[in-house]
Amino acid sequence: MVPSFAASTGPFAVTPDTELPVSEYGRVGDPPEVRALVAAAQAGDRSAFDDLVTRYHRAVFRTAMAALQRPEDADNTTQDAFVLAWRKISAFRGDSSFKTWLLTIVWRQALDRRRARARWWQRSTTVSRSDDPSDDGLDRLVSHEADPERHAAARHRVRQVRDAITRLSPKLRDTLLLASDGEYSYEEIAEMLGVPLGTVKWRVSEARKLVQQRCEQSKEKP
Amino acid sequence: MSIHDIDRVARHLVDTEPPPNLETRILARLDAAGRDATGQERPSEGWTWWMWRAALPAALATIAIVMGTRNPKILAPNGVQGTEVLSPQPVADFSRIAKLEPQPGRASVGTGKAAEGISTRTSDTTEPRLSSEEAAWMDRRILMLAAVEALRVEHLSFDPLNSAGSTQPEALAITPLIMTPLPLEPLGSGRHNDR
Repeated sequence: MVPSFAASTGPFAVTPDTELPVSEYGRVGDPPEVRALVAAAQAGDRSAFDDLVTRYHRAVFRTAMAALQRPEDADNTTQDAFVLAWRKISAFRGDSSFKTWLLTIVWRQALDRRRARARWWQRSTTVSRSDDPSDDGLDRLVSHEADPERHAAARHRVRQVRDAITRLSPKLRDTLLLASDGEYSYEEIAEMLGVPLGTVKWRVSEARKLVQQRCEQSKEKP
Repeated sequence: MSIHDIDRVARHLVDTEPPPNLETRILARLDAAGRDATGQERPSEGWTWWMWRAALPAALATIAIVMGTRNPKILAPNGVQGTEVLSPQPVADFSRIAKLEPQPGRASVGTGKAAEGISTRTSDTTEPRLSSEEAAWMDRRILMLAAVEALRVEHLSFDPLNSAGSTQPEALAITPLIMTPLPLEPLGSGRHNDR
């Protein structure tokens, strides 16, 4: 059923003549207010772009975190991505939503930073992953058990899952982290990663399966 | 371990809120990025400035070369008119060549206006100062050049081979081979083949 736009009013009213951007996977157009901000930013309005920064900087930061897993790197990458987006905003044609376009930029920047990072794997697996419970953050995931032994066991299982995710291949791990974040749809992830939608679904499924297998294997070990 | 638990842990890995001052720092970076209020890039002092600085003289030089190719007088300095160069110092003395009377069947030096130009110009110049050896060499050279009959073919004459003055070797004398029959004994006399 085709939705009716006749009731839309206001400065950003969407009329039937107003075509929403259509991506490879369907309509992923931005809300009207975002489209107005983007149009103003393309015309050179910095305050409009500042509003876009306010709206999307959290999503951009979390995307960088999914690739880098280090807050300081994600912080720098987020800044670089917005600067690049401001410079390239005239090239945005609306083939996808502005959010997807922006996240694609930050994702590529994050991958560049990740490649340039020497011994990234060792550092990413050690940062903020100490055995000290106080700075681990895993307690938030463990339900409070009255029995200290059961609490420790639950915490151990969470640690096993985290280690299994960390040991996934980059493609599977990236896709799983993006999909689990809940910030993006599968279609947006597919556009960000530049892969078909089916590939995203397969990667998420494969990643979950591998994590489950590895957790089972570690459970069987004494 | 359920899928829900895996997703929960995966979400925890990226569940980091941005620093509170991140937005402020982004805006500061944008301000420092060298953009003006119209969104156009400010002319930087980077490679683009140097590109224009190098491209402008190159473009002017190219235009000058193209214009000079079409009209050589633009590039010609004083003393040079078009493609014709008037040299104040003659290279050689052609006066005697110019004085030679053309003869039928003899190759002439220069033709048409070119030859006239040479003789005209050399008549206006001063005689080169040559040493005695050079002058003698020049005289010999001119005389030898004048003696050449360019279109005359000399008829070569040669003596017959059997003449006395021939350089050919003497005729070979072949002595006939004399065959002398060997004396043979008649069969059955002397040796017997009793094998």
